Amino acid sequence: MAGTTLENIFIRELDPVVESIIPRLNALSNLKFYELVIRVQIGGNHFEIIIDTSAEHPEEDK
Amino acid sequence: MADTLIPVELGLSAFVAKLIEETFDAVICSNYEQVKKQEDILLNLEKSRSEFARIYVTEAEIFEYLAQVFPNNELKVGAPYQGDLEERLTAMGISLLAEEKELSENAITAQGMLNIRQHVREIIAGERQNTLAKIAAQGLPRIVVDAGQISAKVSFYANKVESGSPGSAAQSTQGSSASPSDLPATATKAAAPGKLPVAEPVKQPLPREIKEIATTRSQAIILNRGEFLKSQPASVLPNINISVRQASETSTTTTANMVGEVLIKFKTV
Repeated sequence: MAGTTLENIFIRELDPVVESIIPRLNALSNLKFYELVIRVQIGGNHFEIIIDTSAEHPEEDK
Repeated sequence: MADTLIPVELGLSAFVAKLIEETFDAVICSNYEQVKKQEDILLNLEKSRSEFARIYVTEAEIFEYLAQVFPNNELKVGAPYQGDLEERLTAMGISLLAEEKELSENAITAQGMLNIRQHVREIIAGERQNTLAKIAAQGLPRIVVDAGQISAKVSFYANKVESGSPGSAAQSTQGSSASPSDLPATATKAAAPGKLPVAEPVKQPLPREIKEIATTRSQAIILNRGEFLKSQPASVLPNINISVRQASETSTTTTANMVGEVLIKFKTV
């Protein structure tokens, strides 16, 4: 149900943030915003849309 | 009281941008405050005893100190400077002299009381400076935020906007900390006037990986945003905006189209 249309809308809405805000803040300090997760519940279905926001993705937590 | 707080509805991009910026500001401010306090401690150690005393020791603290040493209010102007009172003052390192007008006929003068108070002020200041010096010598602790995540429960609303209106798509950022110039509008394809926007068929399958989460109907959809933007212009439902409102735990009714959560992960690298 929540196929590509919903995903595309979220991507479209968040693109300015990922394109502009996050790189600007990431450039200011060593604090990096690297992942944006949108959890959506539609009826009984739960979806998680994970958007990688940084080229400098830190190593996974051990 | 909670009922009077009506959550403000924001565009999704504005909401997320605000959340990210406020997280950033909070971490930076926390770090700044810590550095500033450390500098304050070091600067206070460099101050002379009398300057430190003048800034940080109050009259009330002097009164309290003297009240502990002289609980029966023996120390006052006109009190005889002898016996037990003299011994206790000597133990505090105070010696009154008639030639300095601290004593008159061996009784404490007003000038003598002032000097005693000043001496006590410096005693208290000295104790505090010594404590600060010990803290500094042991190394000042720092709290560093090395990783974290911010989670905000929200209600999503899908709103139809007129094609070409200034509030469309990513430009709906009024009231947020992000200016429109910070948020360039994405390419959207407007629907014909008077017609409802219709989802356009996806011409190419999106590069994505769908990972089933065991035992639930949940799915994690991991999108490769870069490939999506290259291969697929953002043309799906061009006149539909997603806006969000912070979820209310007290409300018994909701008209939200969808409920969910925005989660922002950050880390020091």
